[in-house]
Amino acid sequence: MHMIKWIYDKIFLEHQEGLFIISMVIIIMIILTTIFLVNYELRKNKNVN
Amino acid sequence: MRKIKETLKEENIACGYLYFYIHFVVEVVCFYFLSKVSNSMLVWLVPFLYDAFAFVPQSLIGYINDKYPKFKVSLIGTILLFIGMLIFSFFHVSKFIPLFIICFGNAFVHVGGAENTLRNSKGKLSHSALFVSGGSFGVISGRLLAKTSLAPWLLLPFILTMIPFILYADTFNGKDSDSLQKFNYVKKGIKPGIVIALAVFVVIVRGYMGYGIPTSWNKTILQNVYLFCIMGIGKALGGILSDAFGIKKVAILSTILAIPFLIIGDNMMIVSLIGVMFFSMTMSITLGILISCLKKTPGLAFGLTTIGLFLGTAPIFFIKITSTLVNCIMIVALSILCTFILNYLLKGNGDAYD
Repeated sequence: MHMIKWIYDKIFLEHQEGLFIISMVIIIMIILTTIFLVNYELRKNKNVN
Repeated sequence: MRKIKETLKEENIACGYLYFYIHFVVEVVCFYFLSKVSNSMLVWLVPFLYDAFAFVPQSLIGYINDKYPKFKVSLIGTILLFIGMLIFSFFHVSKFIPLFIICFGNAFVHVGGAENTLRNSKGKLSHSALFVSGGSFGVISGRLLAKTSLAPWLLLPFILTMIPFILYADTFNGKDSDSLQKFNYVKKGIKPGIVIALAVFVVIVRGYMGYGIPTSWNKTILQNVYLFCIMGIGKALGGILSDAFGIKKVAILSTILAIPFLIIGDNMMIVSLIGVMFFSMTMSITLGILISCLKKTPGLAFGLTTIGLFLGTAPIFFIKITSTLVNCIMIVALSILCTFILNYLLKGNGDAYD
C-alpha cells in the first residue's frame, strides 16, 4: 500500500515530466507492436493467397 | 441527388446513425473533461496525453477485437467513461487518473464503432463516415458545456444513454461476414506494405494540416460552432459522396478544391468553411484504403488511422509555425503531395467494387 502511495505521489503529483516520459515509452511500444502486427498480418495474408 | 438519397438508404446504414450519436456522446464527455482540466497549469500536457492514450491504443484494442469479435468493446468503453467521470465528479485525486480512464473509454468506444460500421457496410464508406462525423459535433458541444456551470456528475446519466444505442447497433453485427471482402479500393499491383505506409502518411499530413489551417476569422463562439459543424458535415459527405460518385473522384477533387478555399478564406468565413468541408472529406477515404489491405483486421486498420492522427497532431505541441506565408506554402505543397498519393493508390471509379 505504501509502495502504491509512493508511486502515485511521485508520478501523478510531484514529477509530471516523469509521467510524460513513461507515457511516451508506452506509446512508442504500442506503435512498434502495431507495426509488427501489420507486418505479421500482411505476411499471413500473402501465404494464404 | 438521387444517388446521395440512395446511399443514405443503404442496408444497415442505421448502425452508422446509431454510432453517430454514440460518438457524439463520447466526444461531449471527453471535451467537457478536457476543457475543465486544461484550465490549470498543465495546458499542454493534458491534451497531449489525451491524444496519445485515446488515439494510439486503438490499434491494439482493435486487433484484439478482430480476433475476439464477441468482446463488447463499446460497452467496456461506456463503463470506463462512466467510471472516469464518476472519479472526476466525486473523488479528489490527481486529474491524470480520470484522464487515463476516459482516454481508454474513448478508445474502446471508437474501436467498437469502427468495427460495427465497417462489418455492416458491404464495402461502402457512408456507414463509417456517419460514425466518424458525430465526433466533430461532440467536440464543440463538450467545449461549450464546459463553459457553463453544469456539474460533471450530470454527464453520468448522459453517458448511460449510449447503452441502448450500442445494444441496438450490435443486433446488426455479423449478418454479412463477407462485408469486409468488398473493400477493394486500391489498385492492383502495389505492395500492401507501401499502400499502408502511404495511406498513414496521408493521415499524418491531414492531421498536421488540421491545426495549421489559417482561420483568422474564427473569433466568436458561434463561428467556432460553425467550424466544427462543417467539419462533421464534411467527414460524413466524404463517405456518402464516395459511395455515390466514386472514391477516386471525391478523394482527388476534395483535396485539390480545398487548397484555394483554405488559402483565400483566412479572413472570409464562408470561403474558409467550404475549404474545411472539402478538407474533412478524406477522413473515411484513407480508412477505406487501409481496410482494402487489411480486410481481416478492420480494427487494426482503423487503429492505424488514429495512430496517424496522433503522429500528425503531436508536433503541434512542440513546434508552431507562426509565419502565415510558410503555413500557406506548406498547405499547398502537402495537399498536392496527398493528391498524387491518393491518385497513385486509388482505383478508377468504374471498378471500385469488383
